[in-house]
Amino acid sequence: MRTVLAQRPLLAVLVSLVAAGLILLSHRRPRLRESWTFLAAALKFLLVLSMLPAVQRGEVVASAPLVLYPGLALHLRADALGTVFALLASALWLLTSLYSVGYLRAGHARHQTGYFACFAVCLAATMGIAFAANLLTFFVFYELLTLATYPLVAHERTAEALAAGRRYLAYTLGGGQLLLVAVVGITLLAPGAEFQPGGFLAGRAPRGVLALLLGLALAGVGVKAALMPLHGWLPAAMVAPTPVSALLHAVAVVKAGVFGCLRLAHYVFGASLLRELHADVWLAGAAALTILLGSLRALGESNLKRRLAYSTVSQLSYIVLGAALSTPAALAGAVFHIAAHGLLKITLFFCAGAVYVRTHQLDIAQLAGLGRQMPITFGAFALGALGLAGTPLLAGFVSKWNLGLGALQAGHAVFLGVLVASGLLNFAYFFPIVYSAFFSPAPAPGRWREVSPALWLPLATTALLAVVLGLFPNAGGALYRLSWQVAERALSTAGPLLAGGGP
Amino acid sequence: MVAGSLLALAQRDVRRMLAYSSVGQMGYIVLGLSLGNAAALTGALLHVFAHAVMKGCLFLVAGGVQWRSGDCRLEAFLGLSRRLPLSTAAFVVAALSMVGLPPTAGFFSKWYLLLGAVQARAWPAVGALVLSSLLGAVYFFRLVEYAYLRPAPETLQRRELPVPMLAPIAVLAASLLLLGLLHQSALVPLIQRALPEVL
Repeated sequence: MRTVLAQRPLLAVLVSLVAAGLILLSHRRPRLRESWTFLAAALKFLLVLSMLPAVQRGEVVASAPLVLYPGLALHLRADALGTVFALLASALWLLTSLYSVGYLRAGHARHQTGYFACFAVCLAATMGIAFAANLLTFFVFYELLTLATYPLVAHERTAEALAAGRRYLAYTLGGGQLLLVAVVGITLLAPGAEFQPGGFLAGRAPRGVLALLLGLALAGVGVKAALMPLHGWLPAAMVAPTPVSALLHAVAVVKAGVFGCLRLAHYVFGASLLRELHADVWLAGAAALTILLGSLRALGESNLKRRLAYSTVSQLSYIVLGAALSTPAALAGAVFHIAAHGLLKITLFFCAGAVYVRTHQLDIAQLAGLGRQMPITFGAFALGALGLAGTPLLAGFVSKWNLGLGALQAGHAVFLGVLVASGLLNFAYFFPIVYSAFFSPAPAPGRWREVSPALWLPLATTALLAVVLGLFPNAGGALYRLSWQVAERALSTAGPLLAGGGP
Repeated sequence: MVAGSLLALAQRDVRRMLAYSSVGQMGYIVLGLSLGNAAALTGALLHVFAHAVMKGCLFLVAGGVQWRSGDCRLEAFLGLSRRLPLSTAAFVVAALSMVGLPPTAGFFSKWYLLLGAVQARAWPAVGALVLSSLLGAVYFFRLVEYAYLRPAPETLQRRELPVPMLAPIAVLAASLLLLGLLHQSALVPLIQRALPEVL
C-alpha cells in the first residue's frame, strides 16, 4: 500500500470549518452567507474528488500528523473506505445546501445563520471521521459531530425540539463516553491505534479484555448507528428541519455510526478476531433483529418522517450485518450500501420536506392524490422506495445482492431470509403511500402544484443518481470497485469468490 | 468527583454551581496524583493548567453576567447568547472543556487520566471519570440550553461586555483550544523537569 503525502485530507476538513466562521461573520447578509456554504461545499467535493484517482490505484493519501504527545497524534488520511464515505457526504452536502436554501426561505425560518454554520461544522466533522487514520482522531471528530448536530436537532426551539435535543445528547454523549473508555484501552494495548486493514488487536490481550473492549466500542458507535435498543434518539430527532434529517440522519451522523462499526470490526479488531470472540454471530444477530423490528415499527408510524426514521434504523443494520458477516461479498455490499442507502434515503427525506413545504403536514393519511399534483416529488419518492426495497436496476439492489451472497458465503442462509423479509416489509410500508398519492382521489381539485426548483432539483438529482448507480455501479466514482477493494484489503482474500459478484 | 458534580447539579446560582464543579475537578487532579503512573501524572498536571484556564473563563463570564444584570441565577442566562454573544461563545468553549469534550484542553487531560486509570486497572476510577463527565454534561448543557435555545423575552438588546472585560475571556477560551492541540510543547519539558523518572 503506497502512501502519498498531501494536505488534501486536512484541507477537506478545514474548508468547511473556515466556512462556518465566515457564515457567522456574514450574519446580516443572507446571500453572502449562502455563497460561503456553496463555495465550501463545492471546494470540499472537488478536494475529495481529486484524491479519488490515487485511492483507486490502491494508494493512501495522508496528511502530516499533528503530534500531541509521543505516540499520540491527530492524523488524517484517505483510504478506500474513507473515500467512499467522504465522497458521498461531500456530494450530498452540495445538493442539501441548495435544498436548505429553498426549504428555509419557503418556511421563513429563523436562526438561519446558526443553521448554516452548524451544518458546515458537521460536514467538517464528517470528513474528519471519514479520513481519521487512528482511533483518537476518529473519536475527536465523532464527538465534534455530536456537538455540532445538537443545535440543529433543537433548531425549532419548541419544547418538543428541546426535549429531542436533550435526548439526543443523552444517547450520544453516553455512547461517546463508552467509546472513549474503549479507545483508551485499545490505545494502551496498541500505542498509536492506527487503523489497519484486517485489524491489529489479535493476540495483544486475553480474550476477556478484548471482548470487553469490543463490547464498549460497539455500544459507543452503536448509538449513532441506531442499533436497537440504542436507536431511541433517531425518531425523536425527526423534529429537526427536514434538510437536517435528510443529510444528518440519513447520511452524516448515522453513517458515522456504521462507518465506526466497519472501522472497528475490520481495521481494529479484524475478522478472525471477531470470529474468535463469537462477536460476528452476536453482532449479526443484533443487526438482523434491528432490521426486522425497525421495519415493523416503520409500518406502524403514521407520520412520514418518523416512518422514514424507522426505515433508516432498519436499513443501517444492513451495513452492520455486512460488517459482522465478514465475507468479501457481505463487506463489499455493506460499504456499497453506505452510498446506496445515503442516496435513496436522502431522496425520500427531500420528498417529505417538499410535501411539508406544500401542505404543512406530514400525516401519511393526508397524502392522497398529491402525487398527481407533485409528480416530480412523488416520482422520486417511488424510485427511492423501490430502491430501498431492493428492486433490481436501482442502487439498493446491488448492495442487497452482495449482502445476500455474503450471507450464503458465511453459511448463514437465515440472514438471506431476513433480507428478503425486510425487502417485503419495505414494500409494505412505502407502497401504500405511493399508491394513494397517485391513484386515490384528491380532496382538493388536482392541478400542477410542484415545489420550487431549489427543492425538486436536488431530489430529482439524487433519485437519478440512485438509478445510475443501480445500472452502472462503477459509474463516476467507481464506488463498486472501491467497495470491493475495501473488502479484499480487510479480509485479504484473492478476489471475489463467486461469478457475478466481482467488480 | 461524583459528589462535587451532583452538588453542582443541584445549584440554582451559577457561581455556586461553578464552585461545586471545581470541587469535583480537584478530584480529577488528586485522582491523577494518587494513581501515580506516567499517564495519570501527565493528566493531573495538564488538568491543573486546563482547569485554571477554563474555570477562570467561566467565572469571568459569570461575573460579567452578574455585573450586567445584577443576578447570577440560571434564569439570568436566558437569552444570554443575544445579549453577550461573544462571552457566551467563550463560556461554551470552556464548558465543553469542563465536560471533557474534544478538541479542548479538558478532553486531553481527561484522556491521560483515563489512560492512567485503565493502565492501573483502577476500574472504579474509570467509572467515576465517565460518570462525572456525564453529570458535567447535564449541568453545562442545561446552561447552554438557557443561553441559546429556551424562549427569552424579545426585548433583549445586544450589550456585549466592554473590551477590558471581554479580552481576558477571549484569550482564555482561545488558549483552551490551543492548549488542547499543542500541549506537547508546553507539557513535555515541564514533566521532564518535574518527574524525570516517569518518562
